[in-house]
Amino acid sequence: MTEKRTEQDLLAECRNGDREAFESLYNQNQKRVFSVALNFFGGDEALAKDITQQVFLKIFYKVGEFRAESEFTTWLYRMTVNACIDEQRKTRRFFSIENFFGEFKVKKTQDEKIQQREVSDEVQKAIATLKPKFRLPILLKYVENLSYQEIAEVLDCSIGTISSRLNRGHKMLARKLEHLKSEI
Amino acid sequence: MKFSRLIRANPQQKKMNEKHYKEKLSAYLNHELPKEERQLIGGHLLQCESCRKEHDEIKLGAALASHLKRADAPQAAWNEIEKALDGKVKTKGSLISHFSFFGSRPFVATTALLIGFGLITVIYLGLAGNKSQEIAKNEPTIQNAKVEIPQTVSTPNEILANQNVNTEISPNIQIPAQNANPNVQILPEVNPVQPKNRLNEILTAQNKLPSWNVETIAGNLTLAEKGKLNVGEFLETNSNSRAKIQVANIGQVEIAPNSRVQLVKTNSNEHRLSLERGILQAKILAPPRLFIVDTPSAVAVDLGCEYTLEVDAAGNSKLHVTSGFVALERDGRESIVPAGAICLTKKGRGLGTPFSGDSSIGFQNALFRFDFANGGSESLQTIIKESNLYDALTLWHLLSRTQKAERGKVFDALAAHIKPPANITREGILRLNKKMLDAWWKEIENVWFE
Repeated sequence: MTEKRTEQDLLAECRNGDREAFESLYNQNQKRVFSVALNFFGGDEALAKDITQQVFLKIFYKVGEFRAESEFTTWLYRMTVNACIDEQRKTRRFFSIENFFGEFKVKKTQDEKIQQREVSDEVQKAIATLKPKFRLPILLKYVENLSYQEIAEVLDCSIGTISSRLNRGHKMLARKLEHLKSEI
Repeated sequence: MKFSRLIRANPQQKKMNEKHYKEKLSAYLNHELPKEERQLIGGHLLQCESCRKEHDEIKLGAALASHLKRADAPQAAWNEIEKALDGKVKTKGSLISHFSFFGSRPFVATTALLIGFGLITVIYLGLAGNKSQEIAKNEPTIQNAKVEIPQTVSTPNEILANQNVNTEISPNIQIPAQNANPNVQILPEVNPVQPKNRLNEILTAQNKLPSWNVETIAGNLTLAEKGKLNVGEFLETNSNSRAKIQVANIGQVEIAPNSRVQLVKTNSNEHRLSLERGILQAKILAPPRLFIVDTPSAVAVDLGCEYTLEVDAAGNSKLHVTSGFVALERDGRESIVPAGAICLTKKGRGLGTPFSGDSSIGFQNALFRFDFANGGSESLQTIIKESNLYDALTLWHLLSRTQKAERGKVFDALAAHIKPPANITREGILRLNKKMLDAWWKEIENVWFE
């Protein structure tokens, strides 16, 4: 409750153009934005940093529009999600066929590879290959620990849709990374 | 993805789902259900092997996702935010006074009006300038040709609007022989396009070879004519350059760095590129089989879609379809690749079997060995064992790529995932009866895109 008051106070001060309040708001929330963006883009720190900057600059200029009808974090996550999707549309990365054929070539030594790489890196990379509609609920659930209700609010869809997308997202992830089964 | 929709689409399977709680398993695992429902599902899982299997798979996915990490943004992120703010705001504490107007409705409305007016002016002036140049340039030729111009054509704006499309020529254009300009080059490929395009077609055909417009997205491109890719000409990108090609009036192709493509042909019946190496992303809105891309190991025939096609240095290719369908063809063999699916080809080894982008690594490896490394029965066994609903696409293609003894096993595996329609018999499919194969494919296709 105290934290919420503080957040409301900070938002009110930000509306008055207080840079120190904005810095505090940034410090309290930067991890949320950066973590979602980092995992959305498969661990690309530079992109995640860009997204974080974009989102907070937008917050700075638009904080007056935030009506407090929803939680500030819902607004924050929604902006983060939109920024990630926009960025992906803009950069629409090309993927390399060499990696694909390479993937088959190195299968025999995959056990060695798994040992070398962190499980979390593999998960991060695999998540980034899912479609955003499956990727985002997973990130909001497992990175940010939001409830289905909160995820539904951020993504502006029903809890049933979130539940169904998480179901499918989990299965896709399990199929992609079944070779890690013994590692976890 | 697509095949899980199948469960909902098929009434029998839907019924089964409602009975089985499969749709609620992630909510069950994440403690998002009321206690009573949790108990009910818990009890059901003890009795139902099918749901338990699905539960275990979702549980594995959840366990994997739990390995994702949070992280703090680097200090540089805040530093750059501050710089950006300082660049716009001179005095601390006066942000609102500086920016409140910019966020206000009057500002937005005024800006929108100004931008709109500016755009209209630029477009008007630009068109007027181009129009006069283009008309002046082509006027004598038109007079010589004495083309009968239909009433429906011919406003200058229409001509200019069509200018970028292509240089195809309508077969309906009548040029009296005695008056025809000998310099007019009538291209052999003719085009049954709308009559209103005729004047434009003649104007462009008289002066140029057929070409597509090219936009440089990054770096520099070397082309015979700036912004144009002529028939027969190559477009090559280096590590820094990227380009967007306007494919006549049917779509766009983006060329990635380190790629080499050639415009082979463009006319009303066929628009053809050759991708020698590199990557292209195509977005085509046209009737099937109008846009074709040759690669060293196969031919990609657009069936109305978006896709990424890659060719590596050895001439192998990978097709990943993101919307619609693409047919990959080689030596009379065909792979139909729908959205969400991938198909590989290997130079010297031919065409691979398409597979879902969500199929398991084990399945993909076995399929790769089957297609390109003489994997034979052993690989087929793994494919069948590893297959699930998502892999019906692959199994259907394998029906015609296996011998009769093995075809039966493929039939059984496919039938377990998607029940064959009533008019299909096992014997018929084993004989590769085309009608039956098509009917089963229709079933797969319907649920894939539903």
